[in-house]
Amino acid sequence: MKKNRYSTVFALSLATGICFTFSGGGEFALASSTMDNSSSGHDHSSHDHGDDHSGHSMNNGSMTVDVSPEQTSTSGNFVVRLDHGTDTLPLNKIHKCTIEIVDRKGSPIDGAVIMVDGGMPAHGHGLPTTPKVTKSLGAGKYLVEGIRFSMPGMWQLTFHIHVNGEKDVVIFNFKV
Amino acid sequence: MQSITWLDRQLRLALIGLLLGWSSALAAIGWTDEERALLKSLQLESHIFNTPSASNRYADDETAVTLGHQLFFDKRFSVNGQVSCASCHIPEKMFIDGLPLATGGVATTDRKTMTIIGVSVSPWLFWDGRKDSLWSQALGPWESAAEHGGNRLQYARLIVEHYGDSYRSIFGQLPKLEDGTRFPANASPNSSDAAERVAWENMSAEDQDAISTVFANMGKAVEAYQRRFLPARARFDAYVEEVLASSNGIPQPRSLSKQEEEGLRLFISEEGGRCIQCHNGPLFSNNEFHNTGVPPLEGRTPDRGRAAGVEAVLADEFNCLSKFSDADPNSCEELRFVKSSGPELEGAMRTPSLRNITHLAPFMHQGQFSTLKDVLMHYKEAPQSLIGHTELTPLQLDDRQLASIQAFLSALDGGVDAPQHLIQTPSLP
Repeated sequence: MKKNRYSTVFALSLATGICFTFSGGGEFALASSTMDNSSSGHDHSSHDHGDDHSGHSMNNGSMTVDVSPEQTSTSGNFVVRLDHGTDTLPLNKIHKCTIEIVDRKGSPIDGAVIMVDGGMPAHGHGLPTTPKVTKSLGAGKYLVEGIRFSMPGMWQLTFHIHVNGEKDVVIFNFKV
Repeated sequence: MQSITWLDRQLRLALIGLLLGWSSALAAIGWTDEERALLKSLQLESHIFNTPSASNRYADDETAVTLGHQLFFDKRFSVNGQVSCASCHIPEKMFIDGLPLATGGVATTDRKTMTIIGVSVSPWLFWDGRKDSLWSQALGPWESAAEHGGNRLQYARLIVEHYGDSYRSIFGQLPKLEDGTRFPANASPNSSDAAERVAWENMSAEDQDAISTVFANMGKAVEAYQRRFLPARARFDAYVEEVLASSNGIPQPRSLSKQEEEGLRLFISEEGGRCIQCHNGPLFSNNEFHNTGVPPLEGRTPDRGRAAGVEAVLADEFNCLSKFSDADPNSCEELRFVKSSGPELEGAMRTPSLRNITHLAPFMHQGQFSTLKDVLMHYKEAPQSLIGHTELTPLQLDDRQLASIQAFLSALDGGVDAPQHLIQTPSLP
């Protein structure tokens, strides 16, 4: 009669163990098993990796980073829309994108001088290439060439826009 | 004296049950969607090797492949008639020589021989990326004093004498070299022999271009040949297919052992080995330049790597933007937007591919590490670099975990995918 109870207890424990694991308890044991982007990355602040990215105070969690293709510049002067021409950002492939700059009233801005930099804030390194705005396409649009994302993770492109004596910065985030 | 109580027994059984359930579930744990995307990005896809070589219009020409095959093995293209490409890029050894520094040429080189398997997709060649195409890369060793030690005038004459018909059928007319006043016996802008450099300078610009065109075309034929050598599908690729085919990320069947699976998890994890930061994409290399603090061989000065290499490629007479390139200048994006300055370039070396890595010892730019175990220990400890600044930070991994990563790397061995006759020595004219 007691054997029934033993096997019941045993079976229940077995089931509990399995459920516990699949509900996420297994992560306790597999120290580095899952790639969890919401956990904080490494602190690379002690290393000098060249470009410094001011304003990357956010963490590298994809859930909290704004990856919208439309961003307002830091001082609010411009709204910039970035078009990669594809939904899947290529890994390790040099490519181009276009940006469209409008002012607060929505009028396109031509004649801007634009510098590009960026990197991976969580890793503390800059871009592997030197992207540039190579063409003014008119109607506030500009061609940006020479972008490469050299590893999976969160990337940032920063555009420094100079026009009519005004200067502003707009930042885009990408998940590769 | 007393037997264990009923409660005791219940608790023991409960504990055993929990542990068994937990461990068996752990063994079956699958991959998240995020991880599956990463695995897919590492999978070998043959189409990546079909990209045309922008600066070489002959790269997929069959006759060029045959000519390139012969040039690769022809020892006459050297100062002493003893050195061919195959002297250091030995086909049976995965196209390397298995040595820390190359000794198959005239003298010893400063860096380790790199394999040619799968390199057609890299935008940069050599450890420091000082060449931006496979065809222009071949021109380096041919005129390098420590390697073949010859010069382009000598080579142009050999082409005319032995390969005239084959060359003309691919590239068109060859220059007439009989006039010794216009075309010296030996000359090159790169020669270590001052007399040969002077002889080159004394040639007319048109004659220099004519010779350099023949030289460039030799490289283009060798590129056509080398493009045929691809890394073959490995057990890892079968495993990724199994994972992607499963609905819950748990592969059935499983092409990796449990230890190899753990190694793979650590390979892609930011908190683990984070190897995928540089060893990513289908070739397990981003073909970018990174300082990993590998010390130079005993008695040698630290290698500046990319910092010197980028200056060389920008100045290279055969780069993508040169007159010998077949590329539309607008398409030379890698060169036009190259990162050409910054402290990160000092001591930075190009990430090698990890496919077939267990056959490519010794490791690093001067073969400093004999075994993969040594390599992994270096990554774990992340010592300071003697030049520039290392990108590594110490790994929080124990010996067992490092051994798992090493086990995983053997799952990248698939061998070479190439027509058998191209691996063998051809008959030479």
